[in-house]
Amino acid sequence: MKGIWIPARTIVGAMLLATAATSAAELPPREMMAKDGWTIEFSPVDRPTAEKLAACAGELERARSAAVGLNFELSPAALGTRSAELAQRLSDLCALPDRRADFQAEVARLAVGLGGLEGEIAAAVFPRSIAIWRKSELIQRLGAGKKIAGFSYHGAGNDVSFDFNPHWTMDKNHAVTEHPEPIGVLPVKQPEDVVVTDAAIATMMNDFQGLCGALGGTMTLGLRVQTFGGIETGVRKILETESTADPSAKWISVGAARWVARQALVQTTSPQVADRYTVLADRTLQAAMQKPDPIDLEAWPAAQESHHYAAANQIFRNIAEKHSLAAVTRLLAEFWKLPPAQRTSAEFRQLYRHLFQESLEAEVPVGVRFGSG
Amino acid sequence: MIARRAGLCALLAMAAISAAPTEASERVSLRRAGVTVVFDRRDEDFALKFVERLPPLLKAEKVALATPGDTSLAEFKKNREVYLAAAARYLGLKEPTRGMRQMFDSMTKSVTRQEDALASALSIDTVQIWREPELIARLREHGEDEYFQPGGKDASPMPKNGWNVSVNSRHSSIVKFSGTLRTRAFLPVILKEDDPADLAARVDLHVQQAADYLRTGITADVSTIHDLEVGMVLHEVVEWKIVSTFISSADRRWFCEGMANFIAYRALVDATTPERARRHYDLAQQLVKWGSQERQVDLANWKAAEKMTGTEQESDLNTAQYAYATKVIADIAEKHGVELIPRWFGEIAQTPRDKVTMKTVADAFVRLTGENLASYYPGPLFSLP
Repeated sequence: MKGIWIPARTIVGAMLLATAATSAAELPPREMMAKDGWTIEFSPVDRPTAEKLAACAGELERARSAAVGLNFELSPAALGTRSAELAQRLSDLCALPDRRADFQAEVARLAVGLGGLEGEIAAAVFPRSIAIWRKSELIQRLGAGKKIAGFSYHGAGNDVSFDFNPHWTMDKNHAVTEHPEPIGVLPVKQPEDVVVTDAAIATMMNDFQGLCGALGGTMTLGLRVQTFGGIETGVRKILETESTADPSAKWISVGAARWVARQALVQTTSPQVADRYTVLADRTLQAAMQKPDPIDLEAWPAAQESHHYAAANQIFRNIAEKHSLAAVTRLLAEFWKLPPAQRTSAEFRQLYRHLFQESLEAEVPVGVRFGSG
Repeated sequence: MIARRAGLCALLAMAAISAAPTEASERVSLRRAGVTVVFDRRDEDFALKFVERLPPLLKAEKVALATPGDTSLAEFKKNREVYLAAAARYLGLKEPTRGMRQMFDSMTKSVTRQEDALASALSIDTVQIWREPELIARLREHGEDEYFQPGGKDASPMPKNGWNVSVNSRHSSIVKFSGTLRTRAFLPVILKEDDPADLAARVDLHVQQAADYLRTGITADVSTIHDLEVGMVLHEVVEWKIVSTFISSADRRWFCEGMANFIAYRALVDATTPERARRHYDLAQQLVKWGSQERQVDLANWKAAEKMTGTEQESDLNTAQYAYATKVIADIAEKHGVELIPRWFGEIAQTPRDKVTMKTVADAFVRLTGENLASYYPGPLFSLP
């Protein structure tokens, strides 16, 4: 599944400087200094600024550490610790008590995958390097074809911008298959021919703390969304092994997986906390349900189709709303009692009619149907 | 209102064209039995032919306005006991009380008046015929007007037929069309450059489009009206019962509104299906719609309606508070099951109504769940832990 991208244009705005360029040949070599785990890169002329920043390195590191070390409800570490509890809830909700160990293995694997990802995201998002740049230097270097990570030169407007967009992908076994690319450095603007004052440095420290808070929040959101997606994927994998190869039944494992993942989070934390994990999934579902085209849930498309996913999930939500949470688990329990070859959509609908004395079609969103009839 | 349309066909056939200057010198109008047709003089041939075809369109409109959706007010009234029994269960009552029935009957009478006002407003009194490129250019230059606003990337004209309804102190319904001074709907006829060159074919095309517009628009509007009314009646009945039996303190607002919305919704779920109940009140949609207000929502300090100024009552924040109050109750039901709701009212009822405040409500909640009620109040969605 695709990870959330972290917009970082908050940094970009600070980088746009306003002075004329000098020629590339006049540009001096860059220098480096290190303090408290931070490195600062600068041009010799900006050494006074670099020294002032180096004096603040300890403060920078504290702000960075606080943001990186943000703890949240089901952080990867907490997920690992609580894997048995979560697995119990998942297996109970799915009415698959014999598969509890499989659920726990899924959650534990997800915790490991997310733990590694958390570190990668932190490293990608929170740099420990500062690069002091004047706009004139950037234009000269970039204009001469030199590559500087994160920077783009817009020749037409004689302007530069800084941007980064870390994103990642996890596969269905919770392994990171696409890694977030590190931002590398935190760019700091150096006005042309102006001595940076202590007040300006103090302002920058404040800005940096705000930036760390914002990036920490965004990183946490990304991890929450990934956690929910991982749990849902794990549940779906297990449900699919319980289903037949009959494609008509695919909507059952898909629809039940998201519902079960949400309920497990609600029971482990609270509905409001669960909202933080499901917010993107819920909005995708809302948007997909606005799609007016009629769909047949028993004819699952080869390509991922959000409307099918949304409709399948909505049916399980509707069943729970109409008959209670326990009713969904009861329905699933009865379904698993059928011989595997009979675990089809038609049998599921028959079971529903038998258990609740009404047709499942009544719980189906507008435009959604079972079969072509 | 609908009877007033009788004889329209004959009158249309007899009426004459009268030039009526509007803000654009080439715009002219003809008026036939209460319907004004406005067009460019260059399109006079089209307008005259189109007017000849109006009677069946208006007749179809009349039928659509009088056709109930699948949750008509009549059906709702007929099944009063089913809906009220479902609502009563959530209030911890064995059956609906006489007062609830009286409130239901009084509310349904009131919304029937509202329905009449809307039906009148939704019947068109104007046909606006425009050449599309000219209308687009006009909207680009002058912005939206009384009838159209630019919409979409290509600035294609969007008819301003969205409405809302309110009730004044004399219980008269007032219908307003969004962003306009109009009190009646209109029929847009947009002539496009790729329309058939042949006049008869062009008229056929636009008559068909007009029929589709009126049918789908009115069917959707009538359905929406019924859906809103049914939810509103149940909400008011439940809220009245909560205030008259359980809590009347000044700090009660969010609890009463949230419960009234939730119980009305649940009663509809029990009596019909979640899919149909969501047409009356879709909490997820409401939360998306009012999400921008979330940080301002302050349920604990939400004033009772009688303590609010008119401006406060009409504010977006006030409307958003309804959604977030409902979410608190929905979250509690999701965590503890809907069975908690009647038990909660049972606990609250242990205290005489005039002694009940929100502290009593919160204490009852603690006794039942061991949880702090305030922990369910909305907080920023992306707040840091």
